[in-house]
Amino acid sequence: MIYLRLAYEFFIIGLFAIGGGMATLPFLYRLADKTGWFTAKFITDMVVVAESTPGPIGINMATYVGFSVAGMLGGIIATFSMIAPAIIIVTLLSKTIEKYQRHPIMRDGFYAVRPAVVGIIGAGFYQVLSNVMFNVSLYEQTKVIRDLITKKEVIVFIIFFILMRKFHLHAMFYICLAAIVGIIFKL
Amino acid sequence: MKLNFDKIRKKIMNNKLLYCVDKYRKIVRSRAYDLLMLFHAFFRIGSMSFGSGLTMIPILQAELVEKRHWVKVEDLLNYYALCQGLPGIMMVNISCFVGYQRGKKLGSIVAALGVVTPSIIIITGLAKLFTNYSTNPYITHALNAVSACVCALIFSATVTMFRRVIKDIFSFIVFAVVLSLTLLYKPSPVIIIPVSLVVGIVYCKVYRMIEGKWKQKLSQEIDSNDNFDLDFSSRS
Repeated sequence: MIYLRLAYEFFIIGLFAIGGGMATLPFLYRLADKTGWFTAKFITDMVVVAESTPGPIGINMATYVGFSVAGMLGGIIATFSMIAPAIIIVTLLSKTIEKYQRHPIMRDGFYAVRPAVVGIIGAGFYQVLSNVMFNVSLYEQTKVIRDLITKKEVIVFIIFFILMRKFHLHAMFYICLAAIVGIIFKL
Repeated sequence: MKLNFDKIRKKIMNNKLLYCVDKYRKIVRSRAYDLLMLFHAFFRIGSMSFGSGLTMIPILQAELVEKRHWVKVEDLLNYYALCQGLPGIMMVNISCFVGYQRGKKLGSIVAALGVVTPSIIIITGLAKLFTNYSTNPYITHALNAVSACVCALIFSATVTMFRRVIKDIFSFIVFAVVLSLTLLYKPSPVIIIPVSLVVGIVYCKVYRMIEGKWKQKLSQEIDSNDNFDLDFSSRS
């Protein structure tokens, strides 16, 4: 029964992948070796697709793998069994966490955790920035400093940031606007 | 057939069983409405996060904090910190926490299902188009611009969080240290968050001890100053 096998494998992945969708990648590679369902190249293609479709990356990858292995039902089973351990653990822990969230000691601790989280997010932002704005391969080819920065994306970034701080509209509005602008200006 | 609502209402109020059933029906219906709203909210959230795991932060902030006021920015950061150490995808974990806050266990399940459903629909529904998706030039242009816009969204969200969270020099030092450490050595957040938790507890305890001693010293000085005689006669 391929469905049971799929459910079991993705339950294990959901249980051990700590810290986001990208942490599931080593498990997926191991899964590709263990079963013959897909190849490593498929995983790399799938990451590209999952990054560009809406939805969390881990969910997209699980659904895609399940879909390619066993059709629509496989996609649904893979996704649900991947989120099942997360739901179980969080639902069990929520009561305790809500009880102790306002405890003075926890408050003291979280007082330092919050700036740390902002630091982590800032570091992640720098990584995203360097992926989008900086073009290291082109720079190494031409050795011109201006080629290090992809101009159009930087302009879009600056303009959108100014717009966002001025008009506090919903995030989706800006994403749709960016898609339209991208199609118009890069033709 | 015309229904006489007054008569029906009177009948329900007079009959205990019917009254209980009616009340139960209303409770169930309002709870179902709450859960439906929860599902709807997380369906929207799940359909809006493009790209890496960081994109969900501005989307969560826009939907949960600014639009619906279900959580505050500080609570969102607390949940984000907790979910770094828990197994599972962070988006699912955070939606489970917020769903539990709104509707207990069923709420957390409904919220997680809501986040997951749009991607299931899109990927299983549009998989036939995926053969050309990554090479379609329109899609590529749009995605380049969208990733730049998402960069700006993350930066804007970070600036908002920075303003809300970092208000004194201790938090700024923690922020700077964690930022530089993560940029240089890339430690896992599973290590950073418990360490900063302990640092926070220790710092607050030490701060309060020092503050207590300072106040004690101040009150001692005031007590010793009271030995002066405010004797106006001796002045002139």
